[in-house]
Amino acid sequence: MIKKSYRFIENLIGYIFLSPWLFGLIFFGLGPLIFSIILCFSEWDLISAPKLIGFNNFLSLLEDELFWKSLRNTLLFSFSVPISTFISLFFAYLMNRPKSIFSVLRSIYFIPSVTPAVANTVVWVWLLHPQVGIINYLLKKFFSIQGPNWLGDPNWIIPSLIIIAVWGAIGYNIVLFTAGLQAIDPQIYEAAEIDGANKWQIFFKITIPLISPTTFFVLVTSFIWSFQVFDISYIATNGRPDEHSLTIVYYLFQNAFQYFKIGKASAIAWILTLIIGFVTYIEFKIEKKYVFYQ
Amino acid sequence: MNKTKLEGINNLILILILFGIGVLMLLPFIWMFFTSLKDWGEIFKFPPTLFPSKLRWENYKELFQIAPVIAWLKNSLFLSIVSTIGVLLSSSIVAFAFAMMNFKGKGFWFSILLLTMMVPFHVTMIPQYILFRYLGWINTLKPLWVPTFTGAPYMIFLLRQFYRSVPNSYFESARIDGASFWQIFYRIYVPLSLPVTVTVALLTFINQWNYFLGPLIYLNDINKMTITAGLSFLQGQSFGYWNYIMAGSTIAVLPILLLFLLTQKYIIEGIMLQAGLK
Amino acid sequence: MKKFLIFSFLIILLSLSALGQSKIQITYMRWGDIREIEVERKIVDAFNQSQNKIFVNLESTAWGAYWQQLQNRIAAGNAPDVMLISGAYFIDLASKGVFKDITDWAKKDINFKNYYYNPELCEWDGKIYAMIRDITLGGIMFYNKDIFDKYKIKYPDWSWDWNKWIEAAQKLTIDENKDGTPEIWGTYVPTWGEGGLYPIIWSAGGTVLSKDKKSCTIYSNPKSLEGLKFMYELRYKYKVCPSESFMQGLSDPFMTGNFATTLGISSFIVSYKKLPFRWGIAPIPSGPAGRFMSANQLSLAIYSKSKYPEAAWEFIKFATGPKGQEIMGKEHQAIPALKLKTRVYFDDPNIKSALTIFSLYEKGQLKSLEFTPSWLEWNNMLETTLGYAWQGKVDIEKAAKTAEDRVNKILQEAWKKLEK
Repeated sequence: MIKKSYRFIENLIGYIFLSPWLFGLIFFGLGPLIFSIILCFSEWDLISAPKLIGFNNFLSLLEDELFWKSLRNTLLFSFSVPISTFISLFFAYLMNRPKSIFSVLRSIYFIPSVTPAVANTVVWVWLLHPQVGIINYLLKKFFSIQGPNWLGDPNWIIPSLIIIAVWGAIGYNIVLFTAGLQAIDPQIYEAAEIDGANKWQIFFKITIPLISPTTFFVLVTSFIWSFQVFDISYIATNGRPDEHSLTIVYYLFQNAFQYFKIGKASAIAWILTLIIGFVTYIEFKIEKKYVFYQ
Repeated sequence: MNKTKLEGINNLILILILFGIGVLMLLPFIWMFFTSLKDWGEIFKFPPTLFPSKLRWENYKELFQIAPVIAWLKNSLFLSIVSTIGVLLSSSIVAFAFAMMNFKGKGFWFSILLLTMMVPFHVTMIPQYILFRYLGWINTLKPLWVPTFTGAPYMIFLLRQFYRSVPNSYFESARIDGASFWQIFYRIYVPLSLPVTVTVALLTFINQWNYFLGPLIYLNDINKMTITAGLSFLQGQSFGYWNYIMAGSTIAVLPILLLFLLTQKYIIEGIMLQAGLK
Repeated sequence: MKKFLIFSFLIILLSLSALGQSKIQITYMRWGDIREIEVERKIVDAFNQSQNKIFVNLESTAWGAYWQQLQNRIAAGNAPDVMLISGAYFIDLASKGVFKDITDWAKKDINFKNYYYNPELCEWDGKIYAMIRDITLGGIMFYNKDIFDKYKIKYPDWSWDWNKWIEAAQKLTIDENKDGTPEIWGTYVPTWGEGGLYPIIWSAGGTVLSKDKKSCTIYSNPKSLEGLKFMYELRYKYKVCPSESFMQGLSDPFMTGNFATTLGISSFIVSYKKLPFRWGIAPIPSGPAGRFMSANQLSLAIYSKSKYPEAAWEFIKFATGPKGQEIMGKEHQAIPALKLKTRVYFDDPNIKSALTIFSLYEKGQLKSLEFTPSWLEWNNMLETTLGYAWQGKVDIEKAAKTAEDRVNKILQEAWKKLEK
């Protein structure tokens, strides 16, 4: 009897704690979500009611070259995630020292996260310019290599966007990792040092497991973000992404707001959601094995 | 050489390399700042120059003359502060439930939480607009801050991770002592997670400050815009007033940087507090 | 008692007079940058002050978000009473019933002969849905007087044809330090529709679409292909125009001061005014079929569900009438479509020569951009597919053929949808 009412109270209090979000979900989120699912199966001209057309939107996507190409571009682009996550962790670890100069460094690295995307991308477009860009200039001067046409060559556009994305994410991720690193009890490190562990052992056997909740968070949210990337490819190609740089959310946007194909756009959105959901699901399965909570 | 001296040199090399890479990080800001001081004709020079031939501070004065910058900044400040409060209050409570409590359907609701992060917002934009129109919130800032009081999924997830990384022993011993969930949350977890709480506040503030699409969709009065949305009005269909845009962007970035520097202090100080509490 | 009666009588009198004076409030939305909106406010204020029955509220958002906001509002049922519309979206919105049919009013109140009138931006399916407001010329040749003077070449004028163009451009493509990349380029022709692509195709004697607008002809029409070849050869045979890869990050080449001539649109004039070098305007050089330029226009439309369409029409008449057009031209916000007021825009000696370009209108050589339903979709596809040729990756015939096939697919689907 007591166990049952204890359970009930815990359930009740749990839902009370959850209530702000639940309220928001039901009030602001549920309607639009359901509506967008209905739109997947409809045609809507905005002015009259949506017209149900079954699976036609999805069938037309199967034959849509641009859809598959933008999907491919987005999947390739998502390789930026593990790269930026682990580079950021490494830098955060290096900068995780009490001296105030490291605070200054962290602030400097964070700056790309606050400068407007247009400024970030314009600077990189100049750095990567095939003739007057400094990257190709340095490559020629120090390595005698003719640098590629970074943003113009179909083989190099995605890697270029990855470079820009990783560069932009480092400072932001460092903030998250720093908060996580700072939350590790220094006594654990002291104990390890007393036990005679060296720097690498401490990093791999202690820091990495203890920071894994943050690492997991960064990986999951970065993947979700990378699948929805929009403005990098837009700005880097001067508003004209072609089939090698078009990302799926940008294609979705074009369909919704330029081509008046909002049903098709919703279908694209939900396919994307399922893909992201699948990837996230895999990540959570991995969480059980590799992420360490104390 | 003795050990500390070797360490000192290692440290120095590290700092130098990190600063070297740091220059790359600073480049957009430097470019933005110097472009804001350029004369109109100089901005479009090819190959591009970084430094202006002379500093045209009048760009800033003219920006304030042609655009309601002060009104924009006020709106941004209001929106960011209120959103930060809203997100902090609601997200920490919800995150605690997901992290430390066991209730029926927890896994299901957490999946829904993640789902809301995964749906591209473009498709829910129109139905949400219809909802806000129904509430009479169009052409006000309400659609931008009221929902923040119902939690931000990204922050809820972040806080959940941190609450879970607090050693379970704290939770268990408090339960044994008969503390209620609210007391455990308020007295133990909130103080312990000061670094991440400050981080959440900082990131929320910055996100809301830089979010310009929302105001451009929900508002149609230029004076009600936030600074980042307002600056879009300096970009026309065929060309943009780049010197003013960059001047405005520089003004917009400075408060954020200041905020970041200040909060860095608290994120570090949070550890002292945490160590002391233990 | 008497006092009370007088008092209540006065109250009733006052309320009645207030009722009589209560104005109809309508909304008018446009996109714009700060300057454009400021001028629009002057137009709206002038209208509001010119009469006391209607009050217009000006609403605006940035260009980048205008169409999103508009579509949100249409879906939510609170679209503005009067909206500014561009050709790219006109047909799609008109065919969906977003605009009110103003055929009767327009036929009664407007004398179309007084305007540089383009039916494609105002009419659909035999009915009139919008009124022309302003005009944007495309294919204008901007030339850098300082460069021409330095190398002692005569300025472009009405005698210029493609040969003269190539000749001058070759003389003005200068690589002083012999590093393979010229410092000064003879010309630049934009690869996007209005600025260069369409006028060149037309000047070659071709068209982008067939006459019934149901298929694309940039490859199947040999004259269209000639136009494309010309653009390709400027870059890769005569080498007077840089490859598109070189153009990365260069949002407006003319403003760099490194180009002797560029083709562009009249909207650039405002931003060129403060350039540190002297420049002038000339018509597009004459191609094998003559001299053709584009005339894109913006129009004003009334929301089909507007509560006060008559009031909206009154405002549109004002904005497109002499008073509104005068303000628009004098403040250099846009080129007035009302012929009487067009010259008001060109008061500056630098740009006065552009007025002569309007003589092409009577000859039918100022063409609209071949608008159709789903125009944006196929136009995007056209431009990005041709882009591979402009970057030098693919030869122009292959790119044109691929582009034509892809555009045809989109066009067929768009027309099919309307037949349903």
